[in-house]
Amino acid sequence: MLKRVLGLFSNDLAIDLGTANTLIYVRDKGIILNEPSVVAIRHAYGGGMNNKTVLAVGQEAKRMLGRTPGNIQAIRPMKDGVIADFTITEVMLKYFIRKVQENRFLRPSPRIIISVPCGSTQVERRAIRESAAGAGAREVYLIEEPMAVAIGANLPVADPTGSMVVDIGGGTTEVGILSLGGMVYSTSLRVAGDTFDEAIINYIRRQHGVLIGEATAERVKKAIASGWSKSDIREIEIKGRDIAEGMSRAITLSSHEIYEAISDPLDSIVQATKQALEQTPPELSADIGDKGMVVAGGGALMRDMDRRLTEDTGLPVVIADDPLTCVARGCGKALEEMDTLGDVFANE
Amino acid sequence: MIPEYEEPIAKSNTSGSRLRRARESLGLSAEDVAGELRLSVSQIKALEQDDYTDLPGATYVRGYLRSYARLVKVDEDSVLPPLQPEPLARSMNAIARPVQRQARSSDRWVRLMSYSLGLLLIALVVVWWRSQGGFDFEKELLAELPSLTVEKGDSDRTVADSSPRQEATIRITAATAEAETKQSPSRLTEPDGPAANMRTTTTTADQPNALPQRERVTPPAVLTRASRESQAALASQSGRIVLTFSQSSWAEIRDASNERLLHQSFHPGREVAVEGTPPFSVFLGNAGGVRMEYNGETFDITPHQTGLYARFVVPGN
Repeated sequence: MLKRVLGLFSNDLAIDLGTANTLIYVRDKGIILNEPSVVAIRHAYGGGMNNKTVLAVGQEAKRMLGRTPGNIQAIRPMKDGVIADFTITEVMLKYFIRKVQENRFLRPSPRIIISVPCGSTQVERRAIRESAAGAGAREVYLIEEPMAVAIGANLPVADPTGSMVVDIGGGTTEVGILSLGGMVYSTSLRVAGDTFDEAIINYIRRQHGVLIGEATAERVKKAIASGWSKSDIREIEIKGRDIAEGMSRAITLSSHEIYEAISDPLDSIVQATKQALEQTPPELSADIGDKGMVVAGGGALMRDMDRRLTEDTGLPVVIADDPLTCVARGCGKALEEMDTLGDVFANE
Repeated sequence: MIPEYEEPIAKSNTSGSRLRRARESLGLSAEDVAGELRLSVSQIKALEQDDYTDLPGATYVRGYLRSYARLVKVDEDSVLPPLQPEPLARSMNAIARPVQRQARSSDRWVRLMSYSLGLLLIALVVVWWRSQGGFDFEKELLAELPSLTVEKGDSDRTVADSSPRQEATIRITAATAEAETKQSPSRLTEPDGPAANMRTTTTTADQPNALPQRERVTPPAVLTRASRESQAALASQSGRIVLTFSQSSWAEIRDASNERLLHQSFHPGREVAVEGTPPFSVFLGNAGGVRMEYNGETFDITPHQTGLYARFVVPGN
């Protein structure tokens, strides 16, 4: 009862709880928070592991990744699209929710829509639900990411026509084929932005004998990585620790090298889309062949990613507007109209 | 020459025509572009003619234009049509099952409820305040009413000078109460404060026929038949009204000072005697069922009767 009353004073939220970034859409306001899903924890001296305090959350905590002293730990509580550290996720969500709620006097208790990977298990979904409830949510609705992407990209999800979406996020790649407001086929692949970073780190260590951190790998990926072998060549100079000498050393990387480094994860993404097309009923397959697929998520920003998918699948590929916020916008749109929509929400 | 190239000059700066010119300058045919983008030639031509009616939707059109622009090396943003967000509910309504509707603070009924609750709260507070302040309120009325009598009868207001007549009860009380009100404004906050009590005692003690304080609250001069005989002797200067009820009726009698002597409904068979300072203003709710005597003589009500009730002054002019 109290939660219902408090609910009158809080705005409903839609959260894209991503592996890399968390976006929060506030009802009637839009996306007002976009921060990395990182929490920095400080362990008090002598207090053991129980004596923890939150040092920073979001952007500030991300700058600490890989640069922390012994008593500080920068944690990414989400891994592969699902919760890896339940407590830290709850702390992070609580922090973000408090940040977007204007009402400081009453403890907010909003209704929350959270996107979940379509391949997540019941346990993982329950963990997300519990974590949002622990962060103060009155009610939690889950929406599968491909559905959120399709809604966010303004696709005709409710029409009797097939739409195909590919969301290449930080932790997972989601492929979904939708028609009549429901999912005809969906698959989730734990290969995405983070896998590219790891592949780049491994490649540079193997080929150049230099160790780099995740942050540098991400910088390289954003600057020169390309998804297509025939892209223009670009170069970047980075510094890392030489494995043999232990000294800092500068190396120059070309986009071709990076393409080679990430070709394995890229291939698995392409394979997943091909597999989805193979599983599609013929009528929907014809619709998709006519219109093409929509790509969203951070992976859609990779240079010539659409060309690669076009070449390999033979379909027109469309990059959604503002692909990074597509899921959050879709959740937000579902939130704005949740009083009339019920079927788009996922069950546990 | 292919017909679609013959476009009017006015339309030459649209995004479609710019893409077409860029394509031509690169020496590509529409078929080449269609092959690269895996679109059909008719779709490419529709894009070049800015005719989006047969294309699947805004998101796809923007995507196609973006890919096309990148292929022919034109700035992507310059060829994109403005975004027109479509409401989702319109299309989803047909198939979706609604989630239970949630009340929000902006809803009309929620707002109405809170306003009426607020008003109710204010009303309750007023009622409570009145009930708390009721004692003082009555006292003030009491202090005001008899003061009129005092002004009329005597010019001097002090208790000591008032003559020891039958009305003394009322007057003394009045003067005491008034003196209290004037001398101690704090009486409201401390109605039973020791100072107030002490003063009252001294004032009343000054007058010759010291009357007990208990009589401060004026008893209405309504007398039953049993006590009427004993009181009759005192009535030399005052008027006396006897009402006999044959039907039930409401009766209200006020004396010269407008003080209410009678204010009650009576059952048939009752007889009531009222004494006080004339002239009396009398109101009878069911005048047909009441017989009235004034100072021992029968008083004819009928001339004053208007419909059921009667309102008149005795003694008349």
